[in-house]
Amino acid sequence: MKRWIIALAVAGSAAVAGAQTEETTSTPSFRLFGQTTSYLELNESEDGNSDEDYTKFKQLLNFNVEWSKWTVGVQVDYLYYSDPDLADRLDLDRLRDTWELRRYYVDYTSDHFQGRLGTFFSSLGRGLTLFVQKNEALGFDEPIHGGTATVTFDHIDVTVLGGNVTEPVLQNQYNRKFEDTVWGGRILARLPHDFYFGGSFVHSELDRFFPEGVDDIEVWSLEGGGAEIAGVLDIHAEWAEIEKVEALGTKEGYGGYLSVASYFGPFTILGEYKDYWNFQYRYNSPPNAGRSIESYNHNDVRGPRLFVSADIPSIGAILSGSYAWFDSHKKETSLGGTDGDQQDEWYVTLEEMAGPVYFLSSYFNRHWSNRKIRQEHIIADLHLSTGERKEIIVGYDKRLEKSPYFSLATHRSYAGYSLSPYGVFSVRYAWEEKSSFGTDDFWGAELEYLPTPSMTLRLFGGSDPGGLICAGGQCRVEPRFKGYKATFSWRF
Amino acid sequence: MAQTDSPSMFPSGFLIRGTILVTVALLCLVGIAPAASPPDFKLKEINGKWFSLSDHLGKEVIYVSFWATWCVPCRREMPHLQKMADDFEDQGFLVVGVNTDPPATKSKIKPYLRRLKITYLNLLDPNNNVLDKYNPTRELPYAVLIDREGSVHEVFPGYRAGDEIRLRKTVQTLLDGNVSEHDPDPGE
Repeated sequence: MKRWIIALAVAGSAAVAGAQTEETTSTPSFRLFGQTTSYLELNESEDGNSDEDYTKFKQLLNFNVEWSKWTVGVQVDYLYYSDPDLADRLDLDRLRDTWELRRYYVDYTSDHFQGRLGTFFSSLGRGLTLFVQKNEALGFDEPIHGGTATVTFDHIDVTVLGGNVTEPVLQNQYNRKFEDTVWGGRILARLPHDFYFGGSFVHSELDRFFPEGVDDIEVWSLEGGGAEIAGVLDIHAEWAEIEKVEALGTKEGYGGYLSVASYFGPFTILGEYKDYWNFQYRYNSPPNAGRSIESYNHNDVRGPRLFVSADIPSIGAILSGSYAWFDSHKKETSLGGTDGDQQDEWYVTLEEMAGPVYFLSSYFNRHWSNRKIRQEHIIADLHLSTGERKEIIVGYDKRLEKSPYFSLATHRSYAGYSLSPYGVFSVRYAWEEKSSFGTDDFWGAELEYLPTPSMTLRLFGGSDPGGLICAGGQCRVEPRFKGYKATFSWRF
Repeated sequence: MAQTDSPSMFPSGFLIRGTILVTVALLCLVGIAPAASPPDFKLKEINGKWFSLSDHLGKEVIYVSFWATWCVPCRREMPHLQKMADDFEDQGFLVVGVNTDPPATKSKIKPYLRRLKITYLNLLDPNNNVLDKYNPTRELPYAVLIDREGSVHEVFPGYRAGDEIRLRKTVQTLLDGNVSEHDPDPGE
């Protein structure tokens, strides 16, 4: 716990150093900004039992003042459940307090220094050593409560950070709040000809699920690379090692990542090789060149990926394809071993922009050969412009997971039309097919309206199957929903 | 559960009154705030060089556009921005893309731009610190048009086909210098 205080002390020293070296040329400016969001959810029981209906209401107020190089902000959230015991276990809000001070910070930014005390999000390296980020689409919103500072010299950046943090999904699963501590830093040197080299280190103390106690995690990494090498090549390589001191003993692991990108003519090529062994912990999210709307294992996986994209100017289209082949380190003799966990993954995407038409279609296929599990993901999305800010939207999305024992397919379709230049009305129909359980249907309608550029109103009525949703390389399982939702946001 | 002592009514009158009071107080504060000048920022370009907004404020008409590789409306808007960047480059128009992807997907950003033939300036905001100052709700795409005096002329939340027509007209007007104080409201 004391270590992040040390990190803050370092940050303070860095602030002094940074402040001494900077120029004071900017004109002081004063600005207020923030947002307020109201969210109302009327949940209805799927089987029509009104005793299980409940209401959820959230009010968020975010207020910030920026003066010259200083910014100060607070965000207060109010949360209400008419019957907290009925809240779904997958609802990430259910453990939150009625009133919460979700954000509070003092931020100082200048030419050579950026420091913040209070709440903040951060990553070190490319997420190998630390990844604590907000993900709006998934509802992940747990910042670090502490401090961070970055000093920028001519060719070197130094970052230190420390604080307390909690993980949104696990605490819901275990039905209690976790308070963890992370502290660490990163140094990055910019070398001539757009080369760079650096490293990062993180120590974390993690609240244990069971038995009560604390796990100590230490992870460090070295990274290097270059951009536009010989005019056509971008390379990034990173190597990390991790030590986990847990209740049952000490575990060691490592993570290696290499990405190479090149461009010539109509072709874009991206290759990656990753090798992660016993590497994942609560606050890292290693690099991945796969699709950001699929789920990936970062704990025990190794193998290459090749992504190729080509323009087809004659029809105004871009055709992309990716193939990856991954294996695991676990062997049959290891505890829980699967004699390797080989998977091959491929996808193709066709994207077309021609006149008033935008069309995207994609097919994703992943197959674990040892476990005989197959996943498919099909996307088709068509936008037809019918005038300025007016369009017709039609789409379809299917996720399938099939094993020898079970299959689950979730189909989602939607059709939307711009009622006015600033409003869209859409209807949705989804159906879920479970082996041996039959099919469930879900209907819904949504209205989105922007009365001004700073205001958004969304109304939804109907039902939704929930399930796996992924965005920005992260995933979560959403609960089913039936009822009504209303959201009003105002930015100022 | 943390909610065991929640009020039984939805929501209680006290809470409604409190929320209204705070909102009114905020509206008053916003009402006395000076005209909007964009928050300054300093971010790295994709190749690691630093870019500072203040170096360009008051000199050029600037369109700051926040985007991400997973954002389909962003992807639809970008070719139009590239065309405008090319057409108005000599007249002092600067398009600044700000990518908000997390660090774990950084390797995909440059191939993505190459694929779409995007050559205008693009910066990296992996922790979304700058996005937070412009748009705390973090919806994408989100753009701000800054005039030659260095003031925010208009904001553009989201993208819908046809937005580029109005943007092009507005930028041309700003470049021609035929605009006084004008902040069009799309709801009007």
